[in-house]
Amino acid sequence: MSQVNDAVVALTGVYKDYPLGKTIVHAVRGVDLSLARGEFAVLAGPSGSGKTTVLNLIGCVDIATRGVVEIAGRDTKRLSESARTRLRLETLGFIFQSFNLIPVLDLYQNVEFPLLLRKDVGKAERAKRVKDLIDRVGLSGQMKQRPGELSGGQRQRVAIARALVTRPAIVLADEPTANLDSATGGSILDLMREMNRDGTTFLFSTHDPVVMQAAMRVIKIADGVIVDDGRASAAAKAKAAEGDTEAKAADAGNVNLSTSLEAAAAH
Amino acid sequence: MGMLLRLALRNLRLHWVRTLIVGMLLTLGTWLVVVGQGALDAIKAGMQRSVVDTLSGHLQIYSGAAKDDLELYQSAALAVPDLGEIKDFGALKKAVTQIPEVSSIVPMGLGRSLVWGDSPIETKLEELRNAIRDQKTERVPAVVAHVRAILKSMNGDLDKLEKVAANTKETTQQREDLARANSEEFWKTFEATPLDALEFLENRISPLGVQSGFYFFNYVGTDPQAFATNFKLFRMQAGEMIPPGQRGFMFNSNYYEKFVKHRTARRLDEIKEARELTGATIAQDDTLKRMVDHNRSQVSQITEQFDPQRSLEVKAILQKELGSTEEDIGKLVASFLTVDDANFDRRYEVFYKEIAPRIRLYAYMVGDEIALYGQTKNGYPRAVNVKVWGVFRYDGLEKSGLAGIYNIMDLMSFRDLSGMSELVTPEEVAKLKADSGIKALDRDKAEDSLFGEGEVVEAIDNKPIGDVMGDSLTGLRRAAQAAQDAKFTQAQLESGPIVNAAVFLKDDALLTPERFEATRLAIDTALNGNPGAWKQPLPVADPDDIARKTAAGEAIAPLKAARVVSWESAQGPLVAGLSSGITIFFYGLVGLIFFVAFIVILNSLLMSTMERVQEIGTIRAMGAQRGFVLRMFAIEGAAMAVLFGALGIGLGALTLAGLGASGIKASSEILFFIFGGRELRPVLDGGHLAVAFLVITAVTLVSILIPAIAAARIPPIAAMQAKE
Repeated sequence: MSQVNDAVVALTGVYKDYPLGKTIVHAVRGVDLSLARGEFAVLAGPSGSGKTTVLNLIGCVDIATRGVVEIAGRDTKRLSESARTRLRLETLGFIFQSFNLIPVLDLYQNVEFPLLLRKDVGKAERAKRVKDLIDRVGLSGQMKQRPGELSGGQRQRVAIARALVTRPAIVLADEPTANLDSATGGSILDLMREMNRDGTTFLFSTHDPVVMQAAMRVIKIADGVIVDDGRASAAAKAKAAEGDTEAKAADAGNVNLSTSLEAAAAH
Repeated sequence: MGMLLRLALRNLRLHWVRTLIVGMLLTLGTWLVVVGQGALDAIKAGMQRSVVDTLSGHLQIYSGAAKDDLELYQSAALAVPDLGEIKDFGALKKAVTQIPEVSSIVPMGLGRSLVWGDSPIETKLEELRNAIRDQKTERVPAVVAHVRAILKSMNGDLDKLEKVAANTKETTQQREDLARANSEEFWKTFEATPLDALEFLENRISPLGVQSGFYFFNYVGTDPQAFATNFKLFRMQAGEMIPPGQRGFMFNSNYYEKFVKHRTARRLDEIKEARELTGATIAQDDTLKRMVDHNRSQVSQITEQFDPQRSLEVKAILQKELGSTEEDIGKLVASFLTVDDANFDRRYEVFYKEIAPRIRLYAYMVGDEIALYGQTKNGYPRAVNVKVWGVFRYDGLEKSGLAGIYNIMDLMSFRDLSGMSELVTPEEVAKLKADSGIKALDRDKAEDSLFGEGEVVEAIDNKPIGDVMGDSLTGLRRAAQAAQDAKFTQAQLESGPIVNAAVFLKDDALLTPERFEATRLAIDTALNGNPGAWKQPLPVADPDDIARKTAAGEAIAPLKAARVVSWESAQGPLVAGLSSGITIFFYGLVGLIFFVAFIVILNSLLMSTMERVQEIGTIRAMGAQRGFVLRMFAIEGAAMAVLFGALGIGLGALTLAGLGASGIKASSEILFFIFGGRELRPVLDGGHLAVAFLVITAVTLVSILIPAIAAARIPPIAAMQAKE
């Protein structure tokens, strides 16, 4: 495999302008970026820095004003709306800041939903994958519960399961821990790391230093330009690995996450 | 698909208030479509029955020369429409009945005549004549006493007349006549030669009486036998049919009860009906109270009909009934007629048992003669005398005023009255004169005496009628009676002119509107497109009319010998308007309900779309196509349609089954006509259920279209916009 083919995401000279009232906001101004299969990367930057815009461009929910956005080797600008939608379905998974579960569906149905959009996954395979993922996110006891009956952390776990159920090449997460307390956020982060080990590329935006520390690669962005794209230091990696172990221990020691949530709430 | 349905049902359940409101509207709308269509069908059939089976037949034929359109149920306008005439009914019948789909044809002519109500003296003199004729000598003294009482009161009437029109010569004569009638000598001559004395009273005194108002009698001049056979709802109620080959008149029961019946009796009937049908009470209902007041204050309408003998009988009965010692008959009857809710039923029974047989319950009774006055098309006055043979009714429509419009008269009298026939040839006039020994005749009086055949009996001179009084008039009366009694053959009846004709078709021609129209066209062609088939001359084109139409750019229709129109067209705008009014009202109501449903669905779904922007964006971001979102809404709509459509259809079918079994009772006069009888039985029809389902599905899907498109246009990026 060549270097180019190995990159699941490749942005070349990407600009994104959008109108805001009478002025034009230059949200992204000449970004070059590539992500290799299996990376666990963070887009970091303050609010309005353009990190969400980059994420949207990679997620094929937005189109670059200039430049080329290639996802799994396909130029998103040249695709039709429905082809882009198909690309999202087959290649991408989304995790949202506010979880975005479908309130009228229960936990199981929420996870199952993207698979139902896929014609190529049979009923048995579907059930297996859904149950397996719910199991992996530690919610197999609550399959019939609705999003409204779950805690924030549990909801984001469901969202992670949902994002992964189609076995996407890339999972995009927009501030996945911003609506969670730090303990819960940590465990969510660990869960994503664990999923990352299976080879799924993760890219998420954040301005939370804790999250940045957990990443293998932190791409810093400011005013629509990448200011720093360094691989994380060995020390940071080690620190991240430590946190990982801690979280695992916490998961094993507790009945489930809600206990630690309650503890967090008590502070 | 399964998930879409699940999503849809979940959404419906989640927004259950909205679902309930929309559902109620959709259910109500569907229910209304099902029940309304069932009722409309039944109403359509009912009105068809009311029109076709009482008056129009399936088709109506009238002259192509008609200046007006045939409108069987005209508004109350007095102007008689110009419908022309068909010269030879026999030829028409032959041409029309050759068409295999035609089952029969009934000759007709519609008319309206003025009839003067008899004055009290006329009524009593007729009673006296009948008593003498039938040799009921025991009745004569009582009737004579009554006549003499009325004669005394007539001086007062003359005083009043003089104030209005002072014609001294005439009134002097009238006063002399009245004085003679009131004299003892006159009544001595009566005992000796009663018929002569009666003749004097009828000719000289009767005209002085104040007539008791006038009536307009509408009638169908027809072949009574053919009419009774072909109009399915026709039934005899009292008396007998006009016998074949004889002249005569039959009252329509509705008209008879409403307009010919004694007012007091009629009011009692109306009170009884209101109490029984609507549960009204005399104590509570002002209309009923007013009727009771009228009956009490107009007590003379009853007492003036009592001769001394009957007056005594009624006095005894009422004294006993009321437990009263009152001697004054007027006060007794007034007190008797002051009914209340407690004593009404008893008084009603006593009235019909004791009082009704002693008065003239109807202004015209079976066996009486009616003098009908009319005008020919050219404005010549005409009059005929016809005997009342009986009273008929239309089964189920007895209470319908619309079905009660027309009485029935024999066709020969109709032709005489409308000037369609050469009434009497000059030879006949000469013979009539010779037979009756008339030397001179006052024109006006002769008309009366000849029972309307006056126009042809020329006034010879204007000598006072007194000069030819006596047996000469008896002869005239006899001659007129003979003319009236003259029989005719079926061939004479059928070979003459008519105004219009009702055509009845065989059942298979009625199966579809297309077949019906094809049959109508076949008849039209037979009459108008085939000159050999029928000898009715083409009407003459009016040059002015052609000029006007040319100027106005209107099409000039080819002249036709006859117009052949469906019953729907013949019934005229009044009844057609009733029918279309009901239909418009129904569809308006359905339209309104569904419009409200449309607005509510549109509005609530747009709101819920806005609430679900992020959710829908998320679904799109996860890879759902726009079509998926559209389908999501379509299925939500379809789920509502199926759910509430089924509910509405089910309830509608249940309602129809219930109504079909129990029937909706006609509770007002017009409803009898609309229902075509005493009750309406709507029928469940599979087609209506399908229509209802299609309608609700269409309405729901159309309502959902705009929110669905709006939702499908939500971009996937909307998923990212964090909702706080």
